[in-house]
Amino acid sequence: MKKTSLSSWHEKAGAKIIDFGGWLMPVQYSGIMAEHKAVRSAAGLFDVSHMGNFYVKGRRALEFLQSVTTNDLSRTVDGQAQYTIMLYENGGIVDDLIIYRIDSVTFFLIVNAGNCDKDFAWLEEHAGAFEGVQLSNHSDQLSLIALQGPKAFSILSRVIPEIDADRLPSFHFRQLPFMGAELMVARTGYTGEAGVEICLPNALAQPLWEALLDAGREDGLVPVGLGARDTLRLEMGYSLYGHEIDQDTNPLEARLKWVVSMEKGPFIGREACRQVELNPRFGVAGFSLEGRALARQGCRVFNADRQEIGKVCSGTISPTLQEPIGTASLVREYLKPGTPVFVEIRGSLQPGQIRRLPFVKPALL
Amino acid sequence: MNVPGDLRYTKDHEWVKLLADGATALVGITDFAQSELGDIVFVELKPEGTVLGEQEIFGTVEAVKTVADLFAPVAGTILELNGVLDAAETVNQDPYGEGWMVKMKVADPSSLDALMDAAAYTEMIGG
Repeated sequence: MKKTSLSSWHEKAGAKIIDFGGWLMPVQYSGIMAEHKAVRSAAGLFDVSHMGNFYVKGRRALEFLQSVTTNDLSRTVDGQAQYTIMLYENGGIVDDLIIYRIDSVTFFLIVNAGNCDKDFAWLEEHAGAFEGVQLSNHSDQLSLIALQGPKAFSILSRVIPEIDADRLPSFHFRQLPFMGAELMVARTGYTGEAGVEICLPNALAQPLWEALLDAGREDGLVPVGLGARDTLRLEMGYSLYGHEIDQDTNPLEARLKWVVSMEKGPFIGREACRQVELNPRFGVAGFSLEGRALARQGCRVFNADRQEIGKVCSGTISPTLQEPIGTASLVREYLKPGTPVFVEIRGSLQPGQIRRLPFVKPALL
Repeated sequence: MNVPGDLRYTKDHEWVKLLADGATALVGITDFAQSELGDIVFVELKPEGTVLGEQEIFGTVEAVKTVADLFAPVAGTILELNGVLDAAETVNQDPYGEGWMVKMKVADPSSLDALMDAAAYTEMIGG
């Protein structure tokens, strides 16, 4: 089992630790509800160092990445990041990831922890056709810390005064000094709140973590585990690999059409996407339930005539709305907000309805 | 972890407390169980009058991350459900007090003797 550089800090803080994709990670400190609310009202600090980090370099690096991802990376400028997807030839999803364009021949990729080895092997397998492209896996040397919430930038500017948040637009990043080394600070996140994700050498993870917590204490900054990270992303309707998307899901049937550029030129999986585009059968939608039982992944979903129309991808209680919410992969006729649905939980059908995503609209977005 | 000395415990982390009449008992989940489950959002219980065999499921506890079944520590009949549990977080806050789940008529009070005492339960949870 792998540990992050902050592992002993989490243990000392009394976090509950779980196995997540082969990593020992904090699922909660004070409690999922309290941590979730802290992020929506003040700020939260997340250790997401388990995520994978690759460099892709070379004269043909852009051309290579265009061929293995769905979004149009040529539209980015230096210092910009892009959310994108890697597909199998059959249109199933290898992983979703963020690509950071450092310059025209240097790209940095952040991928899901559970897919890290698979992704690297997939990239290696396809890089051979692009002469001079170099891949390197830095996942064991780099940490990733996310600072998210309405107070995130005022806290960050006390620790890294050079941040100049007003001139750092969403999905842009900047390299900034900290304790004599360089951090990559990106205005990205997985909560819907304002904030950053900071990639840095392992040795600096704990100093930065503690400096941010000290600087943010009076603003209500707290450490946040993977439990609240999940409820926060689900309130926003963001996909999680293994739930809304996986190797059997086509992005056009999972609310991800906006990251699939059919016109940019050939990429692995484009023909499969073209077929799905002509005749999409499923889609992912948000739903809420009237009762108090929570839907879980795999629960069956039925229409008003009690015909099965799909399955739950993710389910939880919304700490903000205080009602059971979730996402489901459904036959396309049932995606419209307001459509009545029934979710089978422990053998009984719980009434609910399709909801517009996101469930929650943070004030600062 | 809080493990009161006057209760009996199961391997599934329920506690049972025989009341003064010697025939009825309160049942709940332990401090360890509520801590492991995390924020509890919903407690669903079988109705009053339900006759339970030992180890039979009498309800479920829904937490944000997970759901757990509740098992009857001993055979008996459900007499009363704790109405306070509409606010399910009570179980997190006071698992041995306000957060009790059901009052039951115990079929055979001596069956409690087969359950763990506080020392044995503490050892089981590694405390």
